[in-house]
Amino acid sequence: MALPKRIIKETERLVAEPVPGIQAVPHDDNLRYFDVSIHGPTQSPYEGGVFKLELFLPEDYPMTPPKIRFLTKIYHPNIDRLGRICLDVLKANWSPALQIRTILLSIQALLGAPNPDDPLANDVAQRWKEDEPGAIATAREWTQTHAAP
Amino acid sequence: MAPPRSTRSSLQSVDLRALDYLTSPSANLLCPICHSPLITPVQTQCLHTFCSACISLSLERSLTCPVDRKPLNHDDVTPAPIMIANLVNDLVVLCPNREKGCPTTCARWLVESHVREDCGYATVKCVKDGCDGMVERREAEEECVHEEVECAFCQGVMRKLDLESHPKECPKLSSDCPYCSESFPNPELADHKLVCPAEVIDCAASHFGCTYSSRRSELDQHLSGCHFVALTPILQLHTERIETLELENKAIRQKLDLLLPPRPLPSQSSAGASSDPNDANSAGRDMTSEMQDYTYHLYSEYEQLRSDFERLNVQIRELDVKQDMARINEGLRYNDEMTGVRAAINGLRMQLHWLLASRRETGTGGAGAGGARSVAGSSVSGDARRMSDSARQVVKL
Repeated sequence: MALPKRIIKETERLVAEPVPGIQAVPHDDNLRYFDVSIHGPTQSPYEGGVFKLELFLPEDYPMTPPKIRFLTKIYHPNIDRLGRICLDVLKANWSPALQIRTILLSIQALLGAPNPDDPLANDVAQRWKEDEPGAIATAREWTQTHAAP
Repeated sequence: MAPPRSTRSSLQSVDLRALDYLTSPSANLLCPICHSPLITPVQTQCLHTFCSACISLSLERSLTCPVDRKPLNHDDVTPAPIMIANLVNDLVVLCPNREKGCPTTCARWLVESHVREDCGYATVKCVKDGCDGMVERREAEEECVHEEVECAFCQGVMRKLDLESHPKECPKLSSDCPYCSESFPNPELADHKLVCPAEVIDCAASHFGCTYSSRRSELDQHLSGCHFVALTPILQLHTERIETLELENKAIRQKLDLLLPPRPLPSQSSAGASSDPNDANSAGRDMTSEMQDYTYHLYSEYEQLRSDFERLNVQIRELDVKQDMARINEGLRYNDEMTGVRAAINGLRMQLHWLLASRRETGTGGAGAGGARSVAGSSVSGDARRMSDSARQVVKL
């Protein structure tokens, strides 16, 4: 099936006017598959890290949300060991009026504001609630070990 | 007789969403879902506009408005005002057969009829009855191009349509190689050209500056002795390193630009016009001169602050002295006053003594002489005291 015009337009705009701190490059052989890197937001435990993600636009995008996964290991209550992300707009709250850039911005915001009350990685969320400074220190450590640019 | 192209209509369908527009349309006319200019625009209860097809698809998944997530039913969607529909239908589009060569541009509402009736590059059914082949309208002549014919050389059977491009692939036809003049069957010629020993090619290190070129067969000899080829690995390494450094430099410069406050740089316009490496140099120069400016500025500010500080120091010292003097003067004044008061008290005491003594004298006769004597003595000493008051006070101090 030919690539829908919307995907072409979004890709062009992502390349022409990139979002600060976010990069998304489509694969040459599959234009629905993107290599994404997100810079950890400043004043968060992920500051200074560059996190790699993979993004795939399913056949019925934009009616269904893009599939996104962290490839870089990250210590975050809403991201599990496989890199899956717990974010409402990627699931039930998806709307076809959202786009790749808005979703990536949401993920960057999630790094800046972890939400241990809606956890995906239960052990991380537990620690985040009981010993927040310790959890933040671990997140910072993981960032330095796994997400150094 | 009318030309055949006007009689046959094309079955080619036009995907309005895939059209290219002559000018990029206003963002207000784009559907929030497909990001293309609206097609059959409809409006929701919450006053958002979508393509009819887009919102239907979206409502199949979720009964909410994609823009504000308010509850929305199929019944709440009504056609958008005619004006919006007219605005998007009047946008000028390029013919979908543009890649095949059609130069036509027209309003979007006309493009379907253009492809169906006029476009010379649209595919139409073949003229011959019973033939299922398709052909571009401009080529749809009287005879059918889908009939099978035989190649005169290889006896291969093919459609008339393909006969035109067949000679390049016909194994029985041969052509001469442009380099070695040897003859090869057409299908093999392309492969041969890639390895023909007679072709004159450049040295492998030509992009590093070697100007040598010779026949392919003789190049090996040159390559074994070429200095450029010998240096290639290290040159390659350097090129790569320079590229990474350039990238890094660019990133750092961007960061620096963010950190430094924006200041008008008169030399920047001239630097912008020059080529890339010069650009980088002059940008560096700008940076150093800017830094120097800053340092001078800071120096002068520091000097000014120091002189201010010294001036204040002197003033403080003067004030100190003045205050000391004032205090001493005041002290002297108080001392004088005290002396006066003390003298007055002594006078009063004298008078009291004298009064008491005269009282006693009048009361007891015997004691009168002693009392008088004491009065006289005390009055003398009182006078002496009064006279020496100031001297005594000074001693006391």
